[in-house]
Amino acid sequence: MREPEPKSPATGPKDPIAEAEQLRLRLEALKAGIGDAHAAEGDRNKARSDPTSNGGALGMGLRAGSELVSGVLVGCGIGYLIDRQAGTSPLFLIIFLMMGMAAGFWNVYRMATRKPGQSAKDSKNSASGAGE
Amino acid sequence: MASGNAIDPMHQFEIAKIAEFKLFGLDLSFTNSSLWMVIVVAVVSLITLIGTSKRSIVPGRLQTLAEMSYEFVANILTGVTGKEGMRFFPLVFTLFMFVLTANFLGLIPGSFTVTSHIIVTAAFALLVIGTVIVAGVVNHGTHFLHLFVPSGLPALLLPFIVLIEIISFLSRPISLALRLFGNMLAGHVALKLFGAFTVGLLGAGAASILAPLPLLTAVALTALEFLVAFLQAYVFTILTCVYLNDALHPGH
Repeated sequence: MREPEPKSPATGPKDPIAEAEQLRLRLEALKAGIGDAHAAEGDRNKARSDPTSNGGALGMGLRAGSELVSGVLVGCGIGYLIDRQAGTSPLFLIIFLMMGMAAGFWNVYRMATRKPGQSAKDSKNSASGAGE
Repeated sequence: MASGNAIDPMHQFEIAKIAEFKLFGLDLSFTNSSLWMVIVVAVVSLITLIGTSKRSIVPGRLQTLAEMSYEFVANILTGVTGKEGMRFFPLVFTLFMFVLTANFLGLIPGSFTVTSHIIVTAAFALLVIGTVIVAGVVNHGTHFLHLFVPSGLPALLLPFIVLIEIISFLSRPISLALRLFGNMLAGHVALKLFGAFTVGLLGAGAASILAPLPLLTAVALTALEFLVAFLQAYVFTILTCVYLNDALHPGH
């Protein structure tokens, strides 16, 4: 339907070559139609996934909290283990506690700069670009 | 008075053995947790197997449910990781359906919430992070380690950033496990507390006029818990996809 068919259907179904050509054109048109429908559906999904921010925002909030907590926990754990092995308490505990807090904030920052549709690679690029 | 029957909000999380079973000194008893896991698997299997058995063009209720959950997870997965992420679809779909069904079944009064035990959520989180590490190393070899070394950093900052990246990677399974466990546990404790509070107030003479207040709160909390049950399964799934994305496309 996008292009006018070069051979008019008036040549009749008698001609097998013309008929095949006509069917081929119709198939192409249908394929294009399916492609358009898929693209439209993709756009609609995009549009729908943006307003998921209602549930998504609550999810993001819960995520941010647990990222902060888990960063501190891991930092504490690593520092405590190093201290216990090396007997340098509480030097490494303090160092890694701060590292853990930094990691938690870094995670939250990365989460906030990552757009829903954007791949992780792009956001990392933009994050490191912003950090420079 | 409420002191007559002590409020014990943690009682609902206790593990009770249904059938004793020991193997090589390990306690492998069939507990109420195991029972509810079996129920969850049975419910998921019923929905997906019966839902897809007819394959009618105009789907019925179960088929719609099965197709919706398939498309929901497939959309999340392809949206975050791209086409090649569909290799992990069985894992992600299984996790999503199990967590979601376990969360919802836990809201039935008197049932047991499988996901309110940290050992269960931690096992899921370790499975996810183990898959990420194995898939990352298999796909990219040592290039996977570039995940910890962002490009374009001054050499002075590099050791700190690498350390922070390692800590943030290690914190992923912990936050994944803690979030699901904590939300389920806290929600059920709050529900139980407000329920017990209502009963306690009813037996408190003149103060029983106030009893509807905690009852209303409990009703509202139940609605919130339904939202949280879905949301936590959703967050778990989307984070699994984000981490798998790192295994597929590490760094630069």
